[in-house]
Amino acid sequence: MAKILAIESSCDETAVAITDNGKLLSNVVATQISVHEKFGGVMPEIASRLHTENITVCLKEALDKAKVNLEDIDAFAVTRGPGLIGCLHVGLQAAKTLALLYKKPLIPVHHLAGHIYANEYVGEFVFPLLAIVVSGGNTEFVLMKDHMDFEIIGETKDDAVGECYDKVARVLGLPYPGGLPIDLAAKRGKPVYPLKEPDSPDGPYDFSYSGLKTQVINLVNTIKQRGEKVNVDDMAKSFQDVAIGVIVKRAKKAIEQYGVSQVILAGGVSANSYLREQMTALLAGSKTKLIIPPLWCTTDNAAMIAKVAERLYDLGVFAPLSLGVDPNWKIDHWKDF
Amino acid sequence: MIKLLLDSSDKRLVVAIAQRDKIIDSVDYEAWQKQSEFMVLEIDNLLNKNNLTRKDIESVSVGKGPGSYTGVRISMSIAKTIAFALNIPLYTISSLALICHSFEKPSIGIMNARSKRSYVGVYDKGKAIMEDCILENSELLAYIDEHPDYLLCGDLAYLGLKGEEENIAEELLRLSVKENEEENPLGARPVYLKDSYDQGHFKTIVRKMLPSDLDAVKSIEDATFHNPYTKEQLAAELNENPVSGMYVAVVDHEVVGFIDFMITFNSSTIVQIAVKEEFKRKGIGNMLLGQMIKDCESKEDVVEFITLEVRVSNAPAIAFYKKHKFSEITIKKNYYSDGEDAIYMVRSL
Repeated sequence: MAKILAIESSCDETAVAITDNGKLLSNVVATQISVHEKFGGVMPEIASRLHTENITVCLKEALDKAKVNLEDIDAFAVTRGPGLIGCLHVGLQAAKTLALLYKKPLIPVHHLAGHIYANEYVGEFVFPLLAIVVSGGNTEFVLMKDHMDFEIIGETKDDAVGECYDKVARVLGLPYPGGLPIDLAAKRGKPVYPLKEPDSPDGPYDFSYSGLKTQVINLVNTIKQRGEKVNVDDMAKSFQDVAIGVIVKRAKKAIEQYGVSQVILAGGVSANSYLREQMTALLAGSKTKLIIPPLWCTTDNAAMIAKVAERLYDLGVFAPLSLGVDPNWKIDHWKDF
Repeated sequence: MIKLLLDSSDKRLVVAIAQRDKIIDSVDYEAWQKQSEFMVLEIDNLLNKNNLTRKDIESVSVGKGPGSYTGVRISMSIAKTIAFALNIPLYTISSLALICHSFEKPSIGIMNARSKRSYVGVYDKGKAIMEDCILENSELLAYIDEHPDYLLCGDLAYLGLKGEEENIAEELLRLSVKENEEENPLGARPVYLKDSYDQGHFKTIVRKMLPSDLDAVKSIEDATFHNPYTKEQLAAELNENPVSGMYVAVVDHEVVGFIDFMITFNSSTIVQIAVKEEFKRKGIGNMLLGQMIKDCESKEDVVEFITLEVRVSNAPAIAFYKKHKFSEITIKKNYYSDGEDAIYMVRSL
């Protein structure tokens, strides 16, 4: 095992973490949320600019906190994709430069593998395992029969669930990002508004969230047209029941079909209290175990990138200095770079 | 000890090594959109070839922009990381100064900023005699005419002119001086010059919609309308409808709004107009509508009035049209497929 420095810059957080034999020595995250708030979403050009400004500050802070020198690092890891292309470039240059200067291996890490492996900070994996990856950019079911063995058994064909939360929040006049405000409002509301569960577009575990978003928008407009007021709490609850309900329902089916021993939640939307509650209830008393990531792991960070990098270090998966980014990298192609 | 010199602010990739104020080795080639892959690799190759390690580097110099946003970020990220890791000075130098030959003669450094504009900087002996700025190409040409004694520098084929060949590595070395040293290398940032989003300044251009805009327009369509057109319908409007006119508003190469209208004999109809949420209330709708009116006025057959239908519930749109001198004429009952009424609005030209 080794000392690893990992960099993550795929969206709106600039992050650097250092681990030593699996132990997290430092985990620095510079978030840009307050900047993107006023635009109601991440502006890629602005995010890329902020990464460029923040990157060395984060590196310094991570090294200072971990009390290690760059000379002590055994490998430099970086998120290569998926994510926003301009943002990915920045972290990639920093990691490549360090690998060059210190003549140490460069490890390319898949962002979603990071979110999945974040769970290793709280529990050990038992296979076969179903990873429910839900975030602002992704909604997919990943089946793992072993470490670093990813099979996508279902995914969204349009909007990601987190994206849908952000858009619905905007319609309801709630702040960005929309996940937490909707979750909070839903706790006070009743599911009185009729929203249809979205179909599975292709396979049984595929998702489509753009239709649900449109349903909410139309319903809100119809109510306003009638001169009535939308009850935000009730709309949030009605929406959340369907948005999360469909994930839980399909998870149940997948768990049965694949004889899954363990389910893990990953990605930003795994912070959602209703999803956590419903999955806990679904698996209560069953043989299938559930790991829920600590809240700090549900947002983007580099600790999770380091976690995957440790495995890749042991496997000897290293990249040449000509490594490029891949904004659409598929998790089952994590070896192709 | 060596100075490491880097630039990727336009289409090229420049890496050079200088020892005792002389360039001892360099690479310089066109690597448009490949700088992310190759820049670090080229640094590695050059150091290895010359039997050098990190311990031999005494300073790092970089072109800080203006130029390609991604390009300047790539070399800036690398340079910052090196300066931080090795705790050595970081020199950041205007990319326009780098394309000048200002130690020979006063020079105008020019780079294509696209959308009919240029990045322009004027230098003499390495000092700016006009601060780096962005000019409309017409303004630039006028400036060039007024200063016939200045040397034109850069790749000026897009202006139909010939500029002096660049020698970026040499200029990087010459300009690695105290005035260009970053006081706080950790916080160093590129110079973009263009639109400062923070202050809400946007340079918007309106141009005819192209087939390559279809996906961007479709996503604005979906975010805006209750019953959005399918991509096929939009494509048909664009390619097949002989009376339709479609324009897009573009900010920084990103389509942020569009208008679709029809001109039939003496009247014109707005079919759709939409602007991306985060770009609303910035005058983009006015520009799109203005373009339509310009089109109407340029027709040989006189176009006398513009008509449109708008949902009764769409108060912001109704206010927008009223501001543009549209009057409410009548209500069309059950106009929309979901049963909503439309207000029929008309203005004369």
